[in-house]
Amino acid sequence: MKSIFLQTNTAIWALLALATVLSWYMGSDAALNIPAAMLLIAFFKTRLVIMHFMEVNHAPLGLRLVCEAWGIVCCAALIVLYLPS
Amino acid sequence: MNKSVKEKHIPGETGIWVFVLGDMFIFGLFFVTFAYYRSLDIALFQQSQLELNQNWGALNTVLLLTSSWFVVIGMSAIRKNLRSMSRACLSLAWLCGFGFGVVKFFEYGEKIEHGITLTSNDFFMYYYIFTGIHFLHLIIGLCVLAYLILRLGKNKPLAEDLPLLEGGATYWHMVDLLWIVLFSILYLIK
Repeated sequence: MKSIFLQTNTAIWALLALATVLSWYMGSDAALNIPAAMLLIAFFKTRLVIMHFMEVNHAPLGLRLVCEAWGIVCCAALIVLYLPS
Repeated sequence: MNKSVKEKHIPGETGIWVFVLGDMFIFGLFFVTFAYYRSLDIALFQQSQLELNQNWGALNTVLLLTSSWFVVIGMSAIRKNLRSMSRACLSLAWLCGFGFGVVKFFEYGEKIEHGITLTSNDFFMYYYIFTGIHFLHLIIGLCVLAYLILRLGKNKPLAEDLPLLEGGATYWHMVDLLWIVLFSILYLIK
């Protein structure tokens, strides 16, 4: 039973929690509030959820590509739109 | 090489993925719409954002991430035929999701108490609409999880229910990932 908890996904959860704390800290510090960096962290987190929790890393290539495209297009569009700040 | 071909697997029914990807696409449009209108009036959006409580948002992010993790552990337990453990994990996932709902309830209450509503300005219009639609997804997800927990209580062979359970898990993870982006653009990024 213990082995169920000791899996890669538990490390992924810890990484996601750590990234949340990091972006939370960056969000509260004016000097560190860099939109592009924070967007990259957010979409890095969504990618971890999609690939590991949703098991897309074991899915056929088509589904993987659609999911990767979603993250890349959304992240790139947001970075461009946040440039004026 | 054959082994790697065999390992390719779409969790759940294909239909759930059509729904999930469609939803992700729609939320993608929401994110871009928000960023576009923000770029037209950055000062208003930055000023309004100060009214949001980042701590509530961060707490909710951790609750949903933990909930998703419990679902992942629950799915691993199902695949190892550990029925009671998978039920316990899905129940804990449900509780974390419910906790998100409770926090959101208090957060909305706090805003309304301060006279901040859907019509206050563009920022809050998007805030209420996007988090409201996400909240609706959360409620549907909690109903799905509750159904799966009940289903696991019956003595049916787990293999029969696997696509259904995987589909429910996939939907729940989508609720989590959409919140990750909403939290960043609504609460954090100035």
